[in-house]
Amino acid sequence: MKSYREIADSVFARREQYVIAQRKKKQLVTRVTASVGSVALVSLAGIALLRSDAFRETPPISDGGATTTTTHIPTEGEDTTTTTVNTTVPAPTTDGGVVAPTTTATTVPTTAPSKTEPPKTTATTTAPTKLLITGDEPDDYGADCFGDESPKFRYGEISPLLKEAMEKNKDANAIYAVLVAVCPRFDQASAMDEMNKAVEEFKATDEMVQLAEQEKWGEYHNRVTNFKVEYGINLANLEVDALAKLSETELFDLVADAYSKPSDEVSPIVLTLHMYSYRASYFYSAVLSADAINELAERGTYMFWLDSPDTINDVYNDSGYNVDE
Amino acid sequence: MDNGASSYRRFLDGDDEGIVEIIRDYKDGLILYLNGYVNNIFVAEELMEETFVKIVTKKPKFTEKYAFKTWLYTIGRNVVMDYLRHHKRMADTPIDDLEHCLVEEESVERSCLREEQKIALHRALRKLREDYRQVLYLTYFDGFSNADAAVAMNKSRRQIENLVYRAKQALKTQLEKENFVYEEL
Repeated sequence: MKSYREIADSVFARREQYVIAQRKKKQLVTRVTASVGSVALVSLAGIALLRSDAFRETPPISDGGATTTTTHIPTEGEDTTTTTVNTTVPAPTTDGGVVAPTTTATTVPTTAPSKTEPPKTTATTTAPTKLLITGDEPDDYGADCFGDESPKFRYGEISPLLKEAMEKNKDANAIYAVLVAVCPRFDQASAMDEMNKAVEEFKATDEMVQLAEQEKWGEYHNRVTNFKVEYGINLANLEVDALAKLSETELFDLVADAYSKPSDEVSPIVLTLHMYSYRASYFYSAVLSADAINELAERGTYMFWLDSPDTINDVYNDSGYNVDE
Repeated sequence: MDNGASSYRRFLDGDDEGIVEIIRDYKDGLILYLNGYVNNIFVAEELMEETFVKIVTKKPKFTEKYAFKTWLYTIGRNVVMDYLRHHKRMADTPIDDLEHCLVEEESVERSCLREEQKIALHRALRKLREDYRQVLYLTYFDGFSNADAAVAMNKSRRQIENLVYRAKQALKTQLEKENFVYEEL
């Protein structure tokens, strides 16, 4: 049995241990709290920054995008009218739509023939032929495809008529399908032959043979599918380059000709590439005139894939080029 | 002997010697009281030490509403309850240890109770139920009033009165079996 002194010493020793443990615990809690707090602060700052306009390429227009320029032309002694020209360019809408420009012209007669305020003429002119649209920047290589050789092309611009045509057709992807479909190299037979040949060569590579031997069929088929998609994209890229060199008339004729084609003459590659629709839109707006696009849009109802998205999916699935696999 | 409250106040004011005095004055009684719960003098000694560790680390408030001893034993009881909660399945004490245990217990008895008659009585308590043992220990040996015993054992005063009555009857029967003269008690 311990003496009371021994017990007291033991109690005090345990108190010291307790104090040290408490101090460590406090330090740990402080450290963890500080770390968590720092992470939370950084996260909040990051979120705030991302949600702000800091990383947007196009700065927001604070007045809603409408720009009004007023010019007062004094004509005292020479003319009894004052002309005020208001040019209003509508702002892009947030839903991707484009507001049609407005034009008004008024003439206000003066109350006195001279020395007093002359009559005013207010004229609002139509905006330039191309209007800004909103939307995500295409993440493909569309801009590089045209490069400096296509002076008409400017990223972020699109004809309002093309926009209207896209809305009418309800499927912007199909417009790109048309674009690729009309390319002479993209007829069914040659495109398929070319791709199949390349796919067979790809399957014969050591890496693919090894996968087949190991019976890793999931990875094997994924790689084959990815190869096909990539191959199709490369082909399409070449074709778009070629199309960019065509004149407006030649392009129009090609597109118009595509409307009359039966569906089974359309290459599956066209369908494989349907996701790159934005580039087609820019291409159209760069090469074709608004009237030509409008006319094509009116004929768009004859295109089999514009009638029903289901039709696209059916053909797409039958072709065996399911990129989502 | 100081009742312990002033020693505790000194301890709270920073004088560690205050707690040393409390340990000196109350350790044996506390061990015997705790032994009533665990029935192992060594464990009771550990729990007594644990009780004092709780006091020096947590520094609980003493309000003087009850006697210092009552307050101390209440803390001890809480400690032993924690212990029993974590050791529900009490390990059987080996025979050798049991003998050692009894020797140790007798040593504490002599130190705490001193009088031979009280020691004999305390030993008779071992054969009673746990709650009888505890309440009689508190009221006979530690001089607790029923009210203080009620606080220490976390029971109502009425329950303690009933418990004391039944415990006395049980003790009487036990002492008669052992031909113990108890009239003087």
